[in-house]
Amino acid sequence: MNDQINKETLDLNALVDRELGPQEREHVLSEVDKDAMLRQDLSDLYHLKEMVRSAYSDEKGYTTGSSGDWLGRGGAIAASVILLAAVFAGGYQAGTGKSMTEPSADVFHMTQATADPGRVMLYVSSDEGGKFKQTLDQAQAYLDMYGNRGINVIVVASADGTDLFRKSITPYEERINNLKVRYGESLDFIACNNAITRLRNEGADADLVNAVDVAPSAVQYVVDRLREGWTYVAI
Amino acid sequence: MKKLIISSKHRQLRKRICEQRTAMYRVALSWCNEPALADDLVQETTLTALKKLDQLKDDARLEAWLYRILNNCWLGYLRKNRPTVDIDNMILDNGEEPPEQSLQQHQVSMRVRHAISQLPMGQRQVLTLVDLQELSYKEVSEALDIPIGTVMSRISRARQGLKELLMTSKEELRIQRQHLKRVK
Repeated sequence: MNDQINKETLDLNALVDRELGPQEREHVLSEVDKDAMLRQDLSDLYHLKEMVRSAYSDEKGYTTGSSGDWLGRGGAIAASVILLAAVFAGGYQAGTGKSMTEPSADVFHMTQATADPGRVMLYVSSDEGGKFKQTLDQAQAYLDMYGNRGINVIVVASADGTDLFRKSITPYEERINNLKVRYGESLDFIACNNAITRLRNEGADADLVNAVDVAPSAVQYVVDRLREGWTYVAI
Repeated sequence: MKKLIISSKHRQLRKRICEQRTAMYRVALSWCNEPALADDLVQETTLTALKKLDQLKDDARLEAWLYRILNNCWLGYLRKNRPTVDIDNMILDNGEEPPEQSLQQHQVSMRVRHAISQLPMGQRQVLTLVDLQELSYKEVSEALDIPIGTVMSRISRARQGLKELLMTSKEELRIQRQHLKRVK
């Protein structure tokens, strides 16, 4: 293969593999923060890494049969691979017209397969095609269907997606507050402070709906949650 | 006294080597796709490592050292059994069709494994050492005796290839399903 790999791709892979120093990492994250395609690429890389890990997690050895630490780790991630695979596949369903208003059957399988609570992070970066409503519908559907199994959902908004949480703009203020009251700690709404700062610098009103918390950087927040095993769904 | 210390150190290293056997098996399996061969490779690696324990300069580099031995065992096997193949670009296909898409964990794993088996060997080795074994790029560079830049380019290409393979199989399934619906 002779085609060159661009630096961005190398950097994203290095980020996922924890090979970057603090400054490089900060730089790459700020680039990711500005570019939706890079965010999607980064998410795909995390999913791929987890899928590779999980693909062999049930191997105990042919004749060795020993049970090292990896078995326990494998068990812990066994459920997430199914959801990750489903979400990974789901990421490419955007153009198929599949309804996003209900959790997919894929997720149902995931939650059936494990006693561990599901941890799903919905990321929205614009309202294009009614994504704000879709995001809230999706979050509510997950919680209604799997709330009794301990699922946790975080809705993270960045870039133009921040409008979902802006009091002066969003048509969903009441719904967001009601959802928070109804689902309590199982549901969090996170806005990106970088996006808010940019809005304020432009003189825009950036007051947020009461139920929303703020993270210093949405991308950093997403990356940290991915490392903790949360599943990322780009709306 | 010195002898006792060395003996204790060796005992700890031997224990660590044995603890690595299952992890090595997973990596070996991802490289060769044959359980019996993977087991043989791990056995050979373990025996070689135990025999050459004195050659390990730095205990902290045990994993990179072990995977270097595993790689040598694997390359030795390939040279002996498939001498005309370019090892870095070799694709292993055991002839099994990827299983029908299912969200059962086992089937998902099989799909991913099948996709991994389609990657050129050089990429597959780097990918599995980084993702399964969580070796650093530097450790992979030492284990496979390749520059770090090559590790970086191979891991990037491996993931790109894997993504395309998984997307392709999904797309094929979607088309097959549409076709079946039309036939019905």
